[in-house]
Amino acid sequence: MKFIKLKLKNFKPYFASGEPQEIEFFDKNNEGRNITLNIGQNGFGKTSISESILWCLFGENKYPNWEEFVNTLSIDVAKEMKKEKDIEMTVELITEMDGDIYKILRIGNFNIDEGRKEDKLYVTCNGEPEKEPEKFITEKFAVVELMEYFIFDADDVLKKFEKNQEKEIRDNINKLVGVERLDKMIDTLESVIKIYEKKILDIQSEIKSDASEKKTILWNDKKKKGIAVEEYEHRIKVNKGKIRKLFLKSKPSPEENRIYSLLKNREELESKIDNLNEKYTIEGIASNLDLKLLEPIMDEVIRSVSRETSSKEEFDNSSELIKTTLGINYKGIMFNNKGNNKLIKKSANIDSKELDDADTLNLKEEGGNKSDFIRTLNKYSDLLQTEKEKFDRIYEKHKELKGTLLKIKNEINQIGETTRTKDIKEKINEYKKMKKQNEEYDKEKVKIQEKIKENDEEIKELEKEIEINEDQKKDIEKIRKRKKITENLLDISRESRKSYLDQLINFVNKKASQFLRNTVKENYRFNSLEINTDYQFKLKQKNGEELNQNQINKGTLTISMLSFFIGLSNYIGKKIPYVIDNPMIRLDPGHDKRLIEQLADSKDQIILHLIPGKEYTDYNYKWMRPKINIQNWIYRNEWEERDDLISTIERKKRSELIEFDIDEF
Amino acid sequence: MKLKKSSITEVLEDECKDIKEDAKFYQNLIKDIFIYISKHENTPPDQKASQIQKIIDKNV
Repeated sequence: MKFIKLKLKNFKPYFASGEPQEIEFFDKNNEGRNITLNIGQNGFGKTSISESILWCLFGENKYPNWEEFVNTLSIDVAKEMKKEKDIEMTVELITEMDGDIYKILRIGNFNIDEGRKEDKLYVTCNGEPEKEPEKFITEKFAVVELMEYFIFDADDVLKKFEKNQEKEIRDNINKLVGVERLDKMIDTLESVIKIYEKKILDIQSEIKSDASEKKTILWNDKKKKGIAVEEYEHRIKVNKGKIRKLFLKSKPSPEENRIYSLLKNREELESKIDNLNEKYTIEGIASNLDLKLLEPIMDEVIRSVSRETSSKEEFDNSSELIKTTLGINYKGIMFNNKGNNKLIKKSANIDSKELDDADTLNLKEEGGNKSDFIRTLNKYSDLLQTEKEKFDRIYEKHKELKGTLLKIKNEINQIGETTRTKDIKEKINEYKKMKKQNEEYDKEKVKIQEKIKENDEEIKELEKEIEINEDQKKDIEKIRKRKKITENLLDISRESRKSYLDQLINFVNKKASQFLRNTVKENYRFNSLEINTDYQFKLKQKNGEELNQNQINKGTLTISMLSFFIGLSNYIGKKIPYVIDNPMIRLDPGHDKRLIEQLADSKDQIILHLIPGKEYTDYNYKWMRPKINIQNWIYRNEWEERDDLISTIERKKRSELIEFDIDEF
Repeated sequence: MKLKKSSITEVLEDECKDIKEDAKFYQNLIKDIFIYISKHENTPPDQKASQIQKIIDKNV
């Protein structure tokens, strides 16, 4: 890349009433000579040239208060003209890249009455406008913070380096070489690990870890209870056997025969009653009916409701019917328009308003076909009636059997009271005792069985919980795996940062040391530069020892800094021209010559702003001459009645030493 | 003087080779993450972290 020309209008001291002032940077006729000199005293406008290039490229991003750059004379002229309140400040940089000519133009308008300002960037390539000029700048140049490693005042940057490598410099370089992106990646991966850690903690706090333990306790308890039930059953069986044997003799008396036959009948009856009880306990039959009828009723009702429109009254009647049908266990059915119809348990804590709202949701306009709906409900209501009748018949049978059983019990008791045989009396007493014992055993057995049932329910609930816990455990495993992988990614990123920086530092050290050696020559007291990962540099003496801080003067530091910049820009590989203010002001004699020679050999375009008498001398001109492409002289026109300046630039012949009056300095 | 000079992505890929059995997996994943970080310089850090987390979740 080469800067060809700069056009300035009303930028700082570069006042222009008509056409902008032009500064030429490169003459094709002098190809191969890559040094451009802008010669001017301090305060004449050398730094303004650097600033104008940066404003042209980055505008407000670099200079938020750019209106302060508007030439003061142009403001006064506008005030004189009365109608002209908008002042135009423009900078146009003409560059050449790979044979194409790019014109980069920034126009700033400043309204002196209202203080309003706006600026706009225009870029053309061989006359064709670029659609995204801002993007063009970022791609072809570097981001705004980094351009100060290409366009800078050597003396100013030196001050920053003297302040023990400001963080700002380190950050900017990291940004320039891409390390900043690795740092951001490392920070982000660290945050991701924290996210995973939090997720694991959240799930862990949700898991009730004692569910499995509780389940084991309940299982063991159930086993013990089961054995107890078996034990009672065994005892009952033993007693029954004993009872049977009480009256079983080879030659029984008629009384004994009668008792034996009664006991046999009683046993049969009890067995029948037990069967009935088992199948149809009063609660059992009711809940069985509920469950049996529930599903088809729900299906049919839902079908009817969604198919037909029905009135509020109809719906209430239907709901009432459903509630009756459902019996004792449910409050009713809750409908909603999403199809999530729920059966509401009696124990459910449901707000009555919620129920009303839910009902209302499904009510459509009045005038639907209610007969179909009611018919459906009636059909199932009839079915319920049939089931109830069946139950009644069973219940009657149960009652009848109980009556017969009572008669048998009474007859046995009567025999016991009226018999004259002592042996029979004792046996009946024995029988009654065992019967009573069996009743107690049975009662205990039922109690334990109920507890087992409760246990089973609790175990079922716990299993559900454990199942959820298992899923959560799987989730944790998955997150742990992701966390582990993120930790590996973090290690890779950290190692990569180290490797990349080592590679970069190694590269820059070699290039910078080479540049430094060529500048100071081998026989100088220091000859190599070592930069660490914080971009702090140490100068090494020939014997490998480090140079003390008090042995490093400003000239040494300037060369080191410039060597470092050259090494760095070699690494970045961007061929952006250097624009350097005061490059030689601090250098020791001899170093300046070799520094410029080296810069010239690099083939990059070097634009130097030099102070006549200090950096631009008769001696310096002689050795610089073969490398000079263009030299410009910056003049200052001073108005007698005012302090502000108007600078002008004049291109001089490459071959002539610019005359200046040494007395001026 | 010929000096080695590799891009960041090359260095990242190279470092993944140490995890022999999964090198390819890590190379692809870290490249995706680095591209995201490079393209979203101005995204707030927490948003960036949650996006990176999504990229990892998708791959693991």
